[in-house]
Amino acid sequence: MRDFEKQVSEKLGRLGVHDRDEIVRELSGHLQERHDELRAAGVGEDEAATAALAQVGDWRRLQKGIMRAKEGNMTARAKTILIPGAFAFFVAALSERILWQLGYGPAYLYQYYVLQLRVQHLPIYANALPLLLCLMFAGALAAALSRAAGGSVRQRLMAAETPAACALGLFLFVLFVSMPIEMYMRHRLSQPFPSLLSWLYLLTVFFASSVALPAVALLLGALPFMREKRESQSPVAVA
Amino acid sequence: MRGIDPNLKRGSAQLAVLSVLSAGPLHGYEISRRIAEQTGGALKFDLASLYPLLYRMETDGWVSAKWEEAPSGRRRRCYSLTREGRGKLAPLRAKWKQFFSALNSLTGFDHA
Repeated sequence: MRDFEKQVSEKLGRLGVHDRDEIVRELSGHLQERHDELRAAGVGEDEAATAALAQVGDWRRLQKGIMRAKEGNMTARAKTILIPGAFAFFVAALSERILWQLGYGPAYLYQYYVLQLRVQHLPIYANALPLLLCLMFAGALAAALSRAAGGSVRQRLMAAETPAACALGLFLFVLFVSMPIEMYMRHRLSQPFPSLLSWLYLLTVFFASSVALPAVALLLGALPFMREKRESQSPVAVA
Repeated sequence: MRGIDPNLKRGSAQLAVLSVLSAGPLHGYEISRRIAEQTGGALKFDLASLYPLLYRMETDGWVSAKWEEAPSGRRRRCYSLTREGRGKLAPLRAKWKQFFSALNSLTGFDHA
């Protein structure tokens, strides 16, 4: 069997893309198929290999084409997810900060419960409406920017939910890093320990107020931008 | 497919690939074989044209690809149309139909 993989790998050079090995495997598989087909038709080994390799066309054009397509991957991701997501995050963070200054900020539930060791309802949702409206705007902004950049429905959704994804990251950090440290310190200092029910309650409220509710608000804001724009009926551009 | 205007070439290549994939998932070699077969050899893709196009379409979310094992044991990367790609096919067909119709009116190809 002909080793097209080695040949393809050499011809493509470094390529500079993360999935280079997969590409080499795929292209050499293509050449192998052609080679085997010709061999089955009675063509000689060298002739079949030459004909298979002739299917490449221009190695340099192939290399450039692949790099452009894969570079486009990064550019497209930046345009359709990262940049709109960053805008949404900025709007969400800024509005939270401003509203907090105006007295509409969410309570510091985590500190409150851990330091006070009490379980009681906080009026967190009473003040939440202005922030939720700002989050809806952030979600709408991200989805609109992503759609304008040609983002798919999934990409628009990812962009819109970026602030909620960041909040989820923070929640997981608190859950797996801060809380164990807090528990350990309390144990070391022989301080009273909240009950399991208190912890569960705290985590549920923390998750709902900082991750789930914002995620829903962002989604609601993004929904009008989930529909495709009508395709233009303009003629095919030839020039 | 060389020596033709790049915009025209890219558009027609996209239509060709989306059209053959609309029948079901195919790997790269089979895509090029079917296009050549179904056009009587008039359209032929070399690797330098086909794979950058497939990767671009994958990036744009028009097609998705996954590795599958053929009965021979050989692993192939199979491409299939996504919902988004399927949605692109009809408008693309309509545009090309309009284009050829305009060209026919202009040159009288139909009456030749």
